[in-house]
Amino acid sequence: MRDVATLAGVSLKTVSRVVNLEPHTRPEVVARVRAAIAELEWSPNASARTLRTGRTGLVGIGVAELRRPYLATLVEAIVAEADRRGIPVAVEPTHGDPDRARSLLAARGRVFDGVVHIGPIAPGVATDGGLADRPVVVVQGGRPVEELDRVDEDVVDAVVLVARHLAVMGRTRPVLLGHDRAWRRDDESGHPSAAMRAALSTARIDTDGVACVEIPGVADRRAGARAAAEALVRNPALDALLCVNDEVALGALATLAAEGVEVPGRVAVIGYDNLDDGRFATPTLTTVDPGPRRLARAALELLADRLAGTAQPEPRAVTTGVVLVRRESTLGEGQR
Amino acid sequence: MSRRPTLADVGAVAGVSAKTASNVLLGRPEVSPATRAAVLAAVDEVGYHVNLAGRGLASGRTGRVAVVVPNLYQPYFAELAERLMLALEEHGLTTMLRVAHDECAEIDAALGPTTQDVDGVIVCPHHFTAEHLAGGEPRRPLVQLGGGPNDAVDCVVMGEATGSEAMTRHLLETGRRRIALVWNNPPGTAPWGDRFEGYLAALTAHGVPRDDALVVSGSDWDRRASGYEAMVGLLRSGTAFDAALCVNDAIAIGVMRALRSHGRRVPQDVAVAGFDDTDEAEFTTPALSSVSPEQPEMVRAAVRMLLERIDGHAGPPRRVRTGAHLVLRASTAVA
Repeated sequence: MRDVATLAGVSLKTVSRVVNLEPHTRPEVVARVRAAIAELEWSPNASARTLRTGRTGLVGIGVAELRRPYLATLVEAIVAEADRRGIPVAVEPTHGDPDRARSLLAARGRVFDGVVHIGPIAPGVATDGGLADRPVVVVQGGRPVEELDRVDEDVVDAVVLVARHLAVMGRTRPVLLGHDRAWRRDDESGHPSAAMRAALSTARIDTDGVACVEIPGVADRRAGARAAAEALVRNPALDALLCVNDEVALGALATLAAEGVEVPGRVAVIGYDNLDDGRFATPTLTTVDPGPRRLARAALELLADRLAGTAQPEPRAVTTGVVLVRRESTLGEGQR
Repeated sequence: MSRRPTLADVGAVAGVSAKTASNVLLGRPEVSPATRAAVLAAVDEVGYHVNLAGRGLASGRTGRVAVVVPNLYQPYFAELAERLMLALEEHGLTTMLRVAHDECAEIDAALGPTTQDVDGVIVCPHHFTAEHLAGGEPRRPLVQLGGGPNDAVDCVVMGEATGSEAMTRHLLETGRRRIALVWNNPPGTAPWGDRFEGYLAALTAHGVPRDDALVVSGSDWDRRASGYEAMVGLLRSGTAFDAALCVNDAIAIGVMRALRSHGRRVPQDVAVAGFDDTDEAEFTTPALSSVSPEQPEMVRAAVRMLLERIDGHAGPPRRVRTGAHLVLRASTAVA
């Protein structure tokens, strides 16, 4: 460390501040210290550092799994944003297991300085210190179960955009595959969600007949293929499928193609997540883009403020914008 | 917040010294079963957690492994990363996932000082080769998973030649003769490597001449758009073809879309095949034929070699070749 300080022409204290990501160091000094560290291939002994400072310099990202392509996209966006800020991250898949989520959050202060948790935190998982010394930021967690900083996209705007698009296109008999994204697990009123019902009513679509084919397990392509088949049997007159995510919508497209149902001639299909796949599907998929980069940027900003001790004591909630991406599965061919 | 319980607290409750409590938690043999039980009960009672930082200082181990992938947007890498994490976890190891978007970042994550506090590294490379080590050794145990064979480190070599030879043979046996390659060599360079050799071997066996006008590639080889782009180039060249063998599924999906946009039917006019058998292949329209590289086997081999290195195995670099098999779907059905 002394060598690093000498080469960079700064004090030991300054090297320590840069290594521990403390604020109030001029960017050119940070750059000089980093260059010296790289040149000398010096590696701060993080175990010793943790004992001394109580900081590990590492942020944990909790995510159900990486095999869901949207989650991989969001994790990638968070990792890229953390890289940009010079914050090393480790990704921990929780597989929806409360015990795994518990051990991830309990690792704050020992392994991680803080945690970005993607999706709702299971009830009963302790998040103490989540606003103070061991921050937790929840991304796309829906309604908060604890007092924590959180970032969500504007799901109400999303259902408004979808309902209006349906109405403009003259679709009046939609069926939901999986819940709509404004719906929450603690929503007593069932499907569709109150926000979706309001949006459909505003768009003059009768909400009484809107059925929902529930998807009990993982909402992947296979589940979407199965749910679409069920929807066709239960509601042969349906003219639109509103899917909980793009994977389900892509599975539904496979079923509709196999059954010879024209898309969008007879049935329009709308997904959610704006996966890259949807641009290349046959037909290309209309979807809602929740903006993973915007979510990632907001989450890291909240976390960095907490780690730096510059955030207000109250929990903060950031809502980011969404975009309806209109493609062939509602517009028909010839549209790109 | 109240004071965190220490080993001394555990010892006091169990009626032993802190040193004995430590011996139990480190799994040292010189402790009687009764003492062990008393200490473990005391750990629960006082709510003691092992201080990993302290343990790291004492044993030199962190219990963490770095996994380096070039990106997560190509489903192959997301699936592989997930499988590695689960396999490492079975051995009580946690994973630090590094996403390295370019050559510099990849080499730095695999070899450099920014990947800290890990016992070893598994790198799924885009760029890493023996040359990056310049005759030296990695600073910590390192295993390469997939990518080109590397003589300098332990590596798991995917069944690339086997897989592409089998798929090429399948295309030939179903009547295709002009098999385009939508590949990963940078534009303007000649294709090379095991997958290409497998393709050539199958052509030779069927007496079909090689035609380099059939080899195209996009700006990169991770994105569906690059497959689309490369196929547009091939269509514009006027070269006749009746099949497209793609370097991976993401590229194949872009290729299928480009063919459809240009009025070519799959599989009637052109058969399309991918590589990797990712989750999406089964649900494309038409469903995509692909080569399964048997990821579970690849992951098992990589984790096993890394654990052996972490435990001090010092032999020369090893190479494990894994298998591959065809998963045939509608995109290569007989025209």
